[in-house]
Amino acid sequence: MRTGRGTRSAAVLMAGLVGAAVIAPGVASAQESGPSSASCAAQGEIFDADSGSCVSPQEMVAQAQARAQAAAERARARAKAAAEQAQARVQAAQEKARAAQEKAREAAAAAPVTTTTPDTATTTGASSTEATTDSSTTTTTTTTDSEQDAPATRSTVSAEDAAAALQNLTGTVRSGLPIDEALKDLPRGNLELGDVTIPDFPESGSFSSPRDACVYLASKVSVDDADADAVGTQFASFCGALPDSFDPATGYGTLPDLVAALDRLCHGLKHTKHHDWHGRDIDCGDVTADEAQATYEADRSDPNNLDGDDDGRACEWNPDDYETVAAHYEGYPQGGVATGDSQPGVPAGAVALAGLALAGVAGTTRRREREDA
Amino acid sequence: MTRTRSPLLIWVLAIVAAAVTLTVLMTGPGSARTGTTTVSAPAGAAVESLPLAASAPTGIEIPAIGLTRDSVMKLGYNEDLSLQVPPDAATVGWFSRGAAPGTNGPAVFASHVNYHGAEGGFAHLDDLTAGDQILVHRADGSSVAFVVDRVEQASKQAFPTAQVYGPTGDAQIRLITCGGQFDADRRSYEDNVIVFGHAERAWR
Repeated sequence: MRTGRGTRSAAVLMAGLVGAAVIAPGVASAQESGPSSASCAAQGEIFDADSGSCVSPQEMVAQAQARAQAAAERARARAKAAAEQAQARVQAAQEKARAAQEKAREAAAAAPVTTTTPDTATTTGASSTEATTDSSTTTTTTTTDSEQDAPATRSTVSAEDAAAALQNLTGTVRSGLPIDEALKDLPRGNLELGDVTIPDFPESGSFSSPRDACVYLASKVSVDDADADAVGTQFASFCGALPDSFDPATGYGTLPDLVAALDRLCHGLKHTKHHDWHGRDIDCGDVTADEAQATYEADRSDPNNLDGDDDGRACEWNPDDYETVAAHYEGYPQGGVATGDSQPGVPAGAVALAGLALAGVAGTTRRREREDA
Repeated sequence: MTRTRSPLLIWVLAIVAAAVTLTVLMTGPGSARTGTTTVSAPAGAAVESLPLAASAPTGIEIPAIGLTRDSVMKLGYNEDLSLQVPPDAATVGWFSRGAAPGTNGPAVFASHVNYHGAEGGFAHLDDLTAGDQILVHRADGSSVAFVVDRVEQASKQAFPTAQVYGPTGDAQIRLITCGGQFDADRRSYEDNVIVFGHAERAWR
């Protein structure tokens, strides 16, 4: 008998725990959904489901702006951390490239000794051997670098297209020059690249790293002053994710390939409507439909671009009109992607199974109690 | 009169409850997974060279997270020029103004992590790891296998637009859903989970 009660207690306890774990998110979710806004609308106000009260449109806009600003502040902190990580990657690559260049310079400086001072070679055998070895190593290294650069001759972009892309990118005409040489002494642009260190034009005459070349070129790009921060941030992010050596397998086999890609990137970013990094921008994904409409009504000039098709309804779900809105848009989609609207929960199948188990245990226990009575 | 008790039923139900608990724990965020999941071409399939000519996606399979879809909807722009998203939880969408899968450039797919309380198509996207494979079927009858390079979580307010939509010299893929902290006031997540991958092979 005692064993039977213990078993029942254990089963009920376990089912209870599972049931509570499963039901809790649902209860929380149910608490979040509010009733309709009909009564508030009759008073010329908007029902705020979060507070459960009617609020004025102005108050709702202020709330939305406050939330947008708070989110923007959090985002800025995270963006700064991401930029620092990107900068660290770029700096590491730059240091690696500088070390390689220094090593190459040292080797090149050592090489003439063996060719211009034969007396030393003949009088000091050990030194001669060492110097010859260094020279041989240098020669081998140079050959290897040359072989690694070989794909540059197999660029997917013609010299003319690369020159045109560079001109689009920097606004500077450098026709007739090899692409490497054309990059030299370009005027400074206005992009705000954050803390990323801009590399000098390499003494070797060509970039060995797409990241370095990307940051260098980004520093030569000019856009509207209002977009310099946003476009610069995107360029820095893009450059930081590039491979640290030119390799056809990565899609960036040559410098002309990279220049053409950056030209396309710059075109897209110049035409993209960017987030307001100072926290004033409100996006459709950040607000409820009521908040969006209230925000639009508060300022019909629509600085947040919530009514792209100019029909007086903000953030509506009308795919046909979106075609009209974006038919001639050449930029990238703006901002983040609104792909979630609910509390993280447990899988529906688990909920069903847990409910079944709970019901089964409860039913069995009740029947036994009747039987015991 | 007292009938013979059946502790067996109690134990069966208790085991079911325990199994459910384990299921919840194992399918929750941060569940560990060892190894990567790959896809394979059907026998007799003819290998196609990358990059392919443009053709819209008609299906997507991600074995590592148990996702299979026989259709993919086209996505455009929302009214504020953000990326449109599917109108239900399960559907996977493809940004049709961007690159087609298998062509040079990033083919961008999006699906919800959850929607109106239902689990979304990309609910377990953050379980993917580098090396996992993704299979995309195309309208021209070809299929492209992509390999995951990395999975990142980025703030929506500092979305890496250039990395996601910007040009690439080869055929790549991006999978996007929501992640991070849920903001109950806005009923939205503060971050996006983004999977970056590249095309490895194609066949027809």
